[in-house]
Amino acid sequence: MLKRKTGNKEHEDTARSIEEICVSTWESVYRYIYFKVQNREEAEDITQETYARALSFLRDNRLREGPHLGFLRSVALNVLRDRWRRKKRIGPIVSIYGTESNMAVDDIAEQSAIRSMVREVLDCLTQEHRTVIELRILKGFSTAETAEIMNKKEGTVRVILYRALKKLAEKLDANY
Amino acid sequence: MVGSIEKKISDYIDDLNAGKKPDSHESADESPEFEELAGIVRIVRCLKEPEMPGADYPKKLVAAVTPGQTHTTVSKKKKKHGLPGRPPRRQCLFWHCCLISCFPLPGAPT
Repeated sequence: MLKRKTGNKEHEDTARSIEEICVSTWESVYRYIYFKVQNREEAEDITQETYARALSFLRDNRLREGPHLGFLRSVALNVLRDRWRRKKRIGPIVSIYGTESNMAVDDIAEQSAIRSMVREVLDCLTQEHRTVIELRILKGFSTAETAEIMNKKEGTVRVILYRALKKLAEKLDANY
Repeated sequence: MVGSIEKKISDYIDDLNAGKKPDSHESADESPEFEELAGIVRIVRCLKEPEMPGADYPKKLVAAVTPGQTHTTVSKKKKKHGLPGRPPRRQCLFWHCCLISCFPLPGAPT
């Protein structure tokens, strides 16, 4: 009887700890994953898989105290890499045992560096290329809407977009 | 006439704009050119704020990863054990014929 009560209490404590970890960290983990995949559906899915993997590890290690965010990001990166590997995009596995505590800071710095690099390269494009990228990718207009705004045919918009992306790739390759 | 790569990259952007996972994220046989351009699209999208999930997402997440709340559907159907019942008619007839041929009734024609 006493054993069952102790077991229940332990179970409740674990559940509470899991809830606390999820509630306090999910947004940061989600943003980190979204930054890589750039769509909500996949980001939600990978976030859940990350917590499922991470928490089974943490449970075995008695949900020890400490900063979980760096660890969760490493697990997220491994989930992403597993998926990419399935697509034959091989990348090294990050050890989830030796997680650096300053990883969160590094990510923010890295994301900020990528943003300023993209802004810089976008500024080097022609007005037409910048406009099509801005309308289609940044503002999320459809091809039809973009065509109307730019006063061009839909097919032409697709071609301009393709050329703009090629130019962007070239410039990113050359400069970074 | 717009070539397939232009159309594909345009569809890819539409999927991302709709918050959907593009099919190409699962497919292993995309051309290197498409992969490169898709990567550029994702990099450009980094300038945007991420689309956040619904307000109930944290609750759903907790429910999905908390032990005891994630139930795999276990079938509650009881396995049927071979209870003794009436044997099929064909089986009865077979055993009846066997018995008759092994132990013929006295006076029965052979």
